[in-house]
Amino acid sequence: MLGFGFPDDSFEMNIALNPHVMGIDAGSTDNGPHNLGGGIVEAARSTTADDLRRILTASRSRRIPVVIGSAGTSGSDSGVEWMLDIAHEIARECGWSLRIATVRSELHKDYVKRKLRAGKIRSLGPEEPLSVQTIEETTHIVGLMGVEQIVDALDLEPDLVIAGRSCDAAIFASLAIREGYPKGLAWHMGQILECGAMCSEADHGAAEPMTGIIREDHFTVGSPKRSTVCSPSSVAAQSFYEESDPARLNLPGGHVWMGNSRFEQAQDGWVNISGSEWRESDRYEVLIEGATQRGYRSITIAGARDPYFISSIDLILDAVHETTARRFSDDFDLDFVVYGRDGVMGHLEPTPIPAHEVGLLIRVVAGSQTLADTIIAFVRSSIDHFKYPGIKATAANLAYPLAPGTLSCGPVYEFSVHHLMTLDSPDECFEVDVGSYS
Amino acid sequence: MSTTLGEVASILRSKNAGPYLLTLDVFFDSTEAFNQVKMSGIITDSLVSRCYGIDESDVINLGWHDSARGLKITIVRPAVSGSPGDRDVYGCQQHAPLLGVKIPIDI
Repeated sequence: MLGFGFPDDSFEMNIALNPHVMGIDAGSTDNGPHNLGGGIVEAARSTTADDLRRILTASRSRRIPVVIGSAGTSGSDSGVEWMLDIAHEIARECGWSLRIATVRSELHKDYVKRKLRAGKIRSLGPEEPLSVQTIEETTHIVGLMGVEQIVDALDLEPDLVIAGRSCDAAIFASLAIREGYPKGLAWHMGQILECGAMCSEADHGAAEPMTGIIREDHFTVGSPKRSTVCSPSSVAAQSFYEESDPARLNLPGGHVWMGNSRFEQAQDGWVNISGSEWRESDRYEVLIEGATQRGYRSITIAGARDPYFISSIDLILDAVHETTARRFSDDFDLDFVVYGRDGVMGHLEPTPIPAHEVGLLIRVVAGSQTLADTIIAFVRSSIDHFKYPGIKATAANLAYPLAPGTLSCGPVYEFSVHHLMTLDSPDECFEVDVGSYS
Repeated sequence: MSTTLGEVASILRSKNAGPYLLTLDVFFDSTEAFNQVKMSGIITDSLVSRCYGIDESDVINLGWHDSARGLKITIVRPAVSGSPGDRDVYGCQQHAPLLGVKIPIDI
């Protein structure tokens, strides 16, 4: 992930294999809806610039293109601009002239509304059908590009492609598909490479660079670094990563069928993969994503050690919830997360038995920061001084690890768009541009 | 004799499959272990719904991948990732109930 660093030694070793393209993912929806909703970039600017400078230094001397996908975390236009600005700054600093292609993926709301009215947008599963009102309330909407749009950018022979929101695998599959290699193999290779060495047995994780080598009938993944060892099961595990179906990777324009994929150990900790098939669909659908501001959040973190308090905790929290709802007529969300009991899993927890001490996270989301702060102060004080049956500790009920004990967290976002949109052609809503920066 | 899924699996994890779904991956080191668990017939939509206290209709996929020796189970997230009621933005700590599932095999 761009901006989070990578080790020098394995970067040098992988680069020494003379790849034809270098790719790096710079975004995701995984951190939550705030990146897209608020245009918030997850990585720091300084570390992003450090990573990009190292990558470009290596790529320029070898005259190979670099592809960055999901620029600025969300892949919105502001994310692409942010990344372009960093690349331009590096070019100036280093005295380079960089030919940079950008692919924008942010969608105009009027365009999305037209697509909705034309019946070109559908739900994936658990999501509500999209409505015009939701589109209007959404701050930013992006489309996830596939390989076609990155291929268009690569056709412009740039030093660097800065792509907006992209399918992670497309970053690594595009050049191979442009060169005519089978789509099933190329996409599957991209899926495995997108999280770096998470496809290996060693505990290196996503920061470690990996290499994929594609042929007509198979591809090979691995790393020249000796301690990065891939096995058929580690590579197969990565093939499924973050997908809902074990045999198919759904992608713009079709899917990769992995039901017949074979994973075979090759020498030196590399793995050969074959049999992955591209199955074209009758329409070109892209995922569209959007997030909207829900309100403002305030929180309190506290602990409790008193066994009488812990055994009455539900009674206390339910009563405080009720009192708070009576006290404030405005719309707000209040919830309590009880760590040491079911804090991590909530309703999914099969054994909600409290430990001898519990942590309590109190969360309020309301229409303004002032209101959220006001409500949380009321909730906190109500719990502190709640006289439950059998109480012995009459001083106060909660142990606060922080002073001030409440935190104003600012705007809160939620995903509002996560739907499939049919395009008439792959370039319908993506804008490719190129320029020289020095 | 019996063992648990946690004992017999080499990888057992949960993660978001997009913000609306949670996917549970189970992998086995040996084909024998994979086949025995698969053939035991223990892992079903109904078992998953009991493990998590959810409706069977919220188990949207349960599939075995022979060549990868893997099992994937996908369920609807109880709250959309990062929404006000969510507790696990990455969805990476929702796998524990599967660890203790008893498998009547001897490996």
